[in-house]
Amino acid sequence: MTPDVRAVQVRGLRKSFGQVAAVAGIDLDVPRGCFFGLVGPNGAGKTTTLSMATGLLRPDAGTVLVDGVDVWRDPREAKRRIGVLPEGLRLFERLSGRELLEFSGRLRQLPADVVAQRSGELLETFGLAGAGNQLVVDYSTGMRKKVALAVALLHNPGVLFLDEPFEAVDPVSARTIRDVLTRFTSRGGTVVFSSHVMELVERLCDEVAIVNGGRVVAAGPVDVLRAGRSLDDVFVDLVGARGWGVGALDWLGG
Amino acid sequence: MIRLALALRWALLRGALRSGRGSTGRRVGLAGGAVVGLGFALLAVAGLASLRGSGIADDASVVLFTGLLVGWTILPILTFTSDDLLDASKLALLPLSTRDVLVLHGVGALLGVAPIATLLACLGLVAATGDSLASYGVAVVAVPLELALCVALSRTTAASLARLLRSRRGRDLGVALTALVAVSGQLVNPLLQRAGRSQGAGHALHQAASVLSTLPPGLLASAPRLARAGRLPLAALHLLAGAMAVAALLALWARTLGRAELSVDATTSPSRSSTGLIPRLLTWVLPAGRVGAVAAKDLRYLARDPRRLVQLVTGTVFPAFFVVVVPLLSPGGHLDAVMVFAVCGVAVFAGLGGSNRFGQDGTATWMLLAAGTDRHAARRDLLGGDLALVLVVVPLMVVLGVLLAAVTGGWRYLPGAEGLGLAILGVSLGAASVVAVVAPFPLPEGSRNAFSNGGGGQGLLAAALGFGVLAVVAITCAPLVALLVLVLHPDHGAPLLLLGPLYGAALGAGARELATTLWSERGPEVLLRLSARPG
Repeated sequence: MTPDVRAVQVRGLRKSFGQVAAVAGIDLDVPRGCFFGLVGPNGAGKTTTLSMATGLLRPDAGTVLVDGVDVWRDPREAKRRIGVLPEGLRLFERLSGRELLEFSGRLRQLPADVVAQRSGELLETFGLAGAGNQLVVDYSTGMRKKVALAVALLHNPGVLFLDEPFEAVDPVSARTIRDVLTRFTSRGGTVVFSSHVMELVERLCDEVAIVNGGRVVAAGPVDVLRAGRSLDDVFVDLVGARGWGVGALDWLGG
Repeated sequence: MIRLALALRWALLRGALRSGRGSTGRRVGLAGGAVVGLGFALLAVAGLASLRGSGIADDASVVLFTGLLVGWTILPILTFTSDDLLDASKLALLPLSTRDVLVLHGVGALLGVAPIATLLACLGLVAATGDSLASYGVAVVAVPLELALCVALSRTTAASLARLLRSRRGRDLGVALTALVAVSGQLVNPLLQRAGRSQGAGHALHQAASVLSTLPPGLLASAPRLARAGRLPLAALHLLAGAMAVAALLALWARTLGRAELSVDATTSPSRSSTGLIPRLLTWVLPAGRVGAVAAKDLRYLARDPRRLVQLVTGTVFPAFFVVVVPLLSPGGHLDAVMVFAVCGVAVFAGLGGSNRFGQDGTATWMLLAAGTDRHAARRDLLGGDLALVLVVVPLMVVLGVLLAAVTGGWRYLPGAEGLGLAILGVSLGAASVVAVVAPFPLPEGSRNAFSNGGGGQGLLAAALGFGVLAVVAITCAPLVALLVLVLHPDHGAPLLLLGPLYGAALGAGARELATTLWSERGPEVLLRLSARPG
């Protein structure tokens, strides 16, 4: 595999907060056009990794290349190729959905007519056309995810980094998001997304990296990693699950 | 059920004061509220007692009873989201009858700072009006009726506005009202003092009382006076009217409660007419790209986020108000000059408003970072924020200056004041943009206090940085002030109309370059400081 077919290459990424190492040396290789899943339990370092990969959080060490461009050496060029859906960060909620998209387009110096046309199509696709003029502060969680994804797609990036895009999203919205992302990868786009819903990762992803304690504990094509079992079992084996005490909850359902 | 209500209220009070996030603020808030509330009540008691038997005491008690009722009516709007015994939907899952909920909410409302202060203040009525057994007896009945009236009206308001108050719009309204109530006390105080010194205050009180004594709280308050005058049957009639008002309110409350318990949250999200991000009036003023986007975003926030608006108003209009009111109360000196130069004060405080622009945006700042913050983009971000403030503040300065000049006749000072004010605005915006990047601090999200700035020593930091900006403004604008005072003379300041904006723009641009470098290099660090949880 030559470096130029990799959409994302992460090497030796590290980040500590005080004494706690949130990410302790992560390497990732994501091929172009790949649907790549980053899975792990809560606190495994997924959000920290994605923040560093998108230029939102400065790493202590390591490099991130997107389409061969170093995110931290040449952020201007790299950020043009990246679309981000962060977790736990707010949107400008006192703007309407349509205004938010226009704001993002103008920030990126896109021509006004392009922004208007793409915003209309994105809102329509995500079923937000009717809510386009409502303030984002009044949106439901699913609507927020969808409008944030629209913001991430507006400048037509090559690589999408999505942190928990399906968290707290209703089934209909989830289906819409899935369809848009599948279409995106089928046209050569690359999606890196984090999740802890194994069924979803198993169904969607070509490749997956399992992260625990700030390190990659397993990575590769989903089918190879599964080896005939369910991804859920593989995950629990690798990450380790706590057993129940004998007699615990015996009363339940009795 | 009554014991349960009291126990529930007591547990809620204790829970709110337990150690944990924000508990210090709540403790200080409760202690402050107790001191203010009980202090006010004791003052009322002492005041009424000292005026015992006079006509002024009778009038004052009518106004007091009405004022208390008005206060109780506004109270639920301010405390709806923080008081768990106000929102009937919180009890909706429990198998309770409407009567149970009435008792829980009604009795629960009787324990706390506000009801105790109210009771104390009302007891002032007994102290003030009693001089016969009959008048004491009537007052003793009137006081609990007044308290019941307060609770019933307050809870009926809460129940009928529940849908609104539970929504985002209701919370916004609460934020704005709280700030308004807090600040208006400061504003009303000097005016009241002035009014108190002038003649005719007693006359005005009497007129107000004679109107208000036809309403239920006034009827209750005036009953002891009637008893004293020997018109016991009429006094009894007043008490009866008060009791009927309480009964009617209780019935109304019970009816609205049933609806409030079941109604779902109002979505209250009317579709706005689609005009795009940039307000239509400003399409010719705001540049098309990133500068215009950031400026338009800030202007939209000023119009839609009550906290932003409150901050701007308290930061600019109120300081100006003080500059105007204080000399009015102590006349003498160059009143006209002092007042016209108030526009300079507005300029300083407006500039300070930009000193935590990233903190105001909070973690939404990631959108700027994700779109790239190289030097060009960084400069545009800062320029956009400054442009929004300039678009709001400069018209404000002009209007205020013209108004003050018209009132005082100090027209000849106006050019100098506006010129100097524009210089100050430019410099303070520049200095504030440096502070904004160097020391951003997150504002508590979802806080109901428009003045809250995060606690944990951040208030002190913000104050220190504010003084830093003031010092920079004072030092850099000193040459202009010297020029105006020593060379031109304050009433011949016309050259400053040209010089001031140029001076301010040049120095401001210099400071903004420094801020640009810092913002383009420290973007991720700024975002990290604004994030509640790292990573």
